Formats: sequence, C-alpha cells, structure tokens
Amino acid sequence: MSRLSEKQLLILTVGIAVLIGGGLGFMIFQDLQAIQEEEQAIQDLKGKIASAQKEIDQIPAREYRAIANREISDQEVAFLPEETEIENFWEILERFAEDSGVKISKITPNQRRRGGRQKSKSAISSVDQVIRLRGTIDEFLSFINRIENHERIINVSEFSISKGERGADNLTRHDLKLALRTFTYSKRIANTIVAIPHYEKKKDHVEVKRWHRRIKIEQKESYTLRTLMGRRDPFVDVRRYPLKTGVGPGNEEARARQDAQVQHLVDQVRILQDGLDIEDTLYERGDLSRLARMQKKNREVFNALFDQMRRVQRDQVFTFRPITERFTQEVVGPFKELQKRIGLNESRRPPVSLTQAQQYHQRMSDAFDEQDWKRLRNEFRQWNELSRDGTHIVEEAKLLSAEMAKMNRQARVIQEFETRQLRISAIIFSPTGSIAVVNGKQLIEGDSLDPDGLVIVMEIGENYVIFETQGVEIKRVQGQQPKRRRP
Amino acid sequence: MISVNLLPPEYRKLEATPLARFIAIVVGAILVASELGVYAYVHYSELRSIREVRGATDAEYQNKKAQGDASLALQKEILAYEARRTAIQQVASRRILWSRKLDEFLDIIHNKGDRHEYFVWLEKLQVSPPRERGRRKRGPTSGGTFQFQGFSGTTEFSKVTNLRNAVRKDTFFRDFQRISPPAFEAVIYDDGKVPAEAGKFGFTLDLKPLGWERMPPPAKKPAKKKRRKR
Repeated sequence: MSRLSEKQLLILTVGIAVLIGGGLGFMIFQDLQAIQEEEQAIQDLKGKIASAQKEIDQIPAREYRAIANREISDQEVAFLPEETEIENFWEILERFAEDSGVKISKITPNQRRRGGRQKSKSAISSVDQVIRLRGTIDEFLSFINRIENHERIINVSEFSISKGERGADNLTRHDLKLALRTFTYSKRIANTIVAIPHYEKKKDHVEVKRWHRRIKIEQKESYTLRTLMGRRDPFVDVRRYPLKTGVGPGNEEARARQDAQVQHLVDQVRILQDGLDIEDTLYERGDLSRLARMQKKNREVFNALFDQMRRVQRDQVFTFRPITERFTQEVVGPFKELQKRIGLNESRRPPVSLTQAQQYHQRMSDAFDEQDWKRLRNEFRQWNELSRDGTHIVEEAKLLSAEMAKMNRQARVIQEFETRQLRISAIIFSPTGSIAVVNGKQLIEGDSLDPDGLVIVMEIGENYVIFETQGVEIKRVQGQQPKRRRP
Repeated sequence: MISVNLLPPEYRKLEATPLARFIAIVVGAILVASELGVYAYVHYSELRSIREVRGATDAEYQNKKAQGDASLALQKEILAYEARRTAIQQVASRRILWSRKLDEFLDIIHNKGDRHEYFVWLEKLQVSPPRERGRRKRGPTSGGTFQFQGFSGTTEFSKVTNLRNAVRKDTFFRDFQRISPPAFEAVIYDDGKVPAEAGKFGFTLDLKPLGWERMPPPAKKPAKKKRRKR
C-alpha cells in the first residue's frame, strides 16, 4: 500500500475533524431545536392553565347558581309531567270525559305541518292529540275547563263546534273536535351532574337565596266557570211557533197545567230564599256544622230548580204569554239574585273536615264491601259536591279523598265490566296450564276477552277466573256471584 | 540532488509532524473537544432541565383542567336549567284559557236573555291555531283565528253590527287584535216558525300573538325632520 502524501494526510485530518465537528454540531442543533419546542410547549400550557384558572375562579359563583337551580327545579316543572308519566294522559282525559258527560269517539295523534325546516331544540317536548267527541255545549265547556285546570299543563290549541241534534232526552248534542297539547320534560337536565362539596351548607348561602329571588317560577293559570244560569245553547235554532194568548177552546186545560207548573217554580224560589235566610242566620251565630248541612240542602234545591228552569226554557214549555211573563218576573229574575247570594255564601263556607271525610269514606267502603256500586258512586258524587271535587278540604283529609276517588274509579270499571255479562261455563284446571270457557270462548291465562284487549285473563283457578281490566282485578267464581278485590 | 540515508533505520533522525498537519490536528481536536463540551451541557443540563419544567407544567395543567372541566360542566348545567326555564315560560305565557274565552263568548251571544239589542244563534264555531311561518320569517303576527257563523233573528243589519260592537267591547276581546267586517245575507223561512226572516252572518277574529302580554312594547320610531323649503 502506498503511503499517503502529506497533502493527503492534511486533507484527511481536516476532513475527519470537520466530520466529527459537523456531527456534533448537528446534534447540538437538534438539542437546541428540542429545547425551543419544549419552551413553546410550556408557553402553550401556561396559556391553557390561565384559561382553566379563569374557569376555576368562577366555580364558587357557579356552584351557588347551580344549587339555586337544583333546589327550585321541582317547583318549576310542577305542572309538567315527566316523560314516564305521559301514559296517564289518556287516563286523565277519560276521567274528565266521564265527569263532564261528553263521549269521546276518537283520539288520534295530531299531524301538524311545520313551516320551518328546523327541528325543535326545546328542553321540553310536546305531545299533540286530536279528540273527536260528542256532547252538549255545557258538557264540552266543562270538559275543556277540567283539562285547562288540571294540575299538569294541557293546552287547547284548536277546536270546532257544529250544529247538533236533539236526542231522546231533549238535550242537543254536538259533534266536537278538539286538539290538545301537553308537554313533557326529562328529569335528566345534563349529561354530567357535578357533585358540589358541602352542598347542604352552601344551600343556605345568601347568594343562593339571591338567585332564588331572581328566578321567577311560572304559575299555571286556571279558571272557574261561571255558573250557568238559564244560558241557552247558542247552536240551537231559537225560532219557535207563535205564543198563544190563552183565549179559545182547548186552551183551558193547557193553561191550567202551565199555571200549576209556574206556581211550583215560584214556590221553589221562595223555599230557596227562606233556606238562604236560614244560612245567613246560622253563619252569624257561628253554627258551622248546621251551616254546612243547610248549604248542602240549599244547593240541592238550587240544582233541582236550575234543572227545571233549563228544561222549561229549552223545551219552551210555556206557550201562553202571561205565564211566560210571570215566569220571567217571578222565577228567572229572583233566581239570578239567589244565585249571587249562593256564590257569596259558598265563598265563606269552611273546608270539609276530617270527620266528614271519614264518614264519607266509611260509607263508600261499606258500599264497596256490599258491592253496591250505584250507592258508592252516589256517595262519591255527594262528596264531590260537598268538597268541590276534593279541593275544599282540610289537609289531613286529602289522603282519604284520594282513596275515595280510587274507589269510585274501581266501582266504575267494575260496573262497566258487569255489563259484559260474562258466564264461566267450564274450567279445566291443570298445574301446567288451565283453560276456562267464558261465554263459549276457550281462554288461557294471558288471553284477551275481546279484540280490543281491555279485559285480560289473569289467573284461572280450580273454580274461579280472575280478570284484569283498566288496572282493576275482578274475580268471578264459576256458577256464583262475582267477587271483587278492595283497593 | 539525490540524497540517500545510509544509516540503519534505528539510527535515523525522526521526522517531526509537519506544521500544517499539526495545526490542523490541534485545531480539530480543540473544535471537537469544545463541541463535545457544548453538547454535553446542552443535552444533559439544558434539555433535561427544560423537560423537567415541561413535565411539571403539564402536571399542573392536568390538575387545572380537571377543575376547569368541572366548572364548565356546572356552567352547562346552569344553561340547561335556563333553557328549560325559558321553554316553560314560553309554554305558560303562550296559553289561552279557551274555557274562559268560550264562557265569555257564550255570555255575549246569550246577552242575558235580552233580544232587543240583538238575538242570534250560531251555526258553526271554529278556533284555529296560527300558521307556522317559514324559517326565514320573523316571529308570529297572529295567535290564530276565532271564526263563527250564525243567524240573527231579523234582517236588520244593525243587529249584526250591535253584536259586533258587543264582542269588541267585552273583556272577551282583549286577546284579539281585530274583528272582520260582518258578512251578511238575508234568509227567508217558510216553516211557520217566527221569525220568518233571518240574517245570516259570519265573523273572523284574529288573536294577538300568544304571550302578547309579556312582549315589550314596540319601539317608537323617531319623528322625521321636515326640511324647510327656501
């Protein structure tokens, strides 16, 4: 191998030095780059820390505000049903229909067109229904009033009333269409609910109270119907045949009859006047128990008189002008005054006591045990009149009132069930699966009696069958009288 | 001149490293040694220390972030409550008690049994909600319509206008913004009942926008300045 020359050695030496130096320089450069990146990262993190710190500084104020919202949340949504409670909506409508007297013929969801394309992003959602029903104007008014006064908000968004037909009972019933909207909310307000330390102590902080004062809780408005007083159905054609003057053959008997009728009404008005005078006396004396009894009696007289007057006006009973005039002057006029007096007296009536509630409850329980559904429902009707549908009672009686409402509902369901006239002709009992023959149809446990699915066979025993309908279980023994289960 | 060294190699004078190469080696060695020193300082001191600072800052950030997220979650919860509150206020405010309206309206029609001012009976009554406006349109201008058609017990048009006035003056009308002029047509009956003639009419009432009581009053436009003509 030839030796390198001096020049070559020099170049080699320099080259090696440059290579090593360059390599080290590159590594130093890389480290400096890394340092710069780390410094940049530190600056970014400091910025983020500052932002997070701003949020952290607001924690105390936000905690108080969140606590204030959580504490009043239940009050705010008091008139909205939860999503899980919406199933009661139809049951409520059915109850109102029964209480007011309308008959529901159809319920369908409301397919409303929306003008905009955006979907609703509201915190609460709505449920829309269209109902078709039939009833008198008074019944319809009572129905929508019950709906609007219900503790859970239900809005009437549209309705229509058309001319009706007079039925066999001389009442004019109309076809009615009604669109309702109710609202639901989800109890889950947010995906993450932060646990606030020392929550109970912070609840009493002045900042929480300050937020409570700022937050306005919506109250649901309600309305009490004006007492109907001979107000005619405006959808009835009021044109009538000309009035007779009372002169001429054949009119004497009719006139005498109508005279007797108007005299009876005048006497009823006088009885009511005397009754109200007694009420005033009892009130002045402070005899509240006798006052309640007298008010109840006067109310019955008032209702009976009102029904008679309405029938007279609706059926145009009085066809002689002098009798019509006497009716207007001596019955209708005084009746209006008596109605005002009754209204005033009602407002000063004390709430129904626990003792009275217990008495009604006991009578209803006895009727339930005796399976006398008509009597039970009658008692409940009287209870409703006395207590103004369970609203004018002392706090201690509310539980009893709720039980009575439940008993009434069960009695109604059982009465409807009994109209089916079920007959259990045979039972084939087996531990593995029994069969009952009801009205000629073979049924096993879980089967529905009819296509509508309202009555289900719950249990088949050796000599009995338990049916379930609308939440009520009814036991029927083969060949014996039906037995019911108490609430 | 050619020179030959006859001495055996062990007796020959050693040659010194050439100066250029020597300088190159020394400079190279110094350079490399310096760079090594710098590298060691930068890598093992500066870089390590800055990485430790970054680690500590990162840990601090994670801690703050958790608290910050909790604060944001609280804010989100508060906003959700307020959104629900607003929705509930809208539901409650945009509500008309139709049982009250209908009760008041039936009283107007009945007019306490008086037949002199007007005497009517109805054929149809319909309440319709407002039509939904498109996305680009501003808020609703009407809360819906209340339409009724019926008959007056006489062909005198004044009775129908009396009814219209009675509707306008009653508390029933406070939720409405306008009532249409009456559509009127005389009708004759031949069934023996009285009255034998009647006036068929119809009205449409426009409701104010739902929740109108809570809306702020419209801002008054400033009066325009009139220019003087010279």
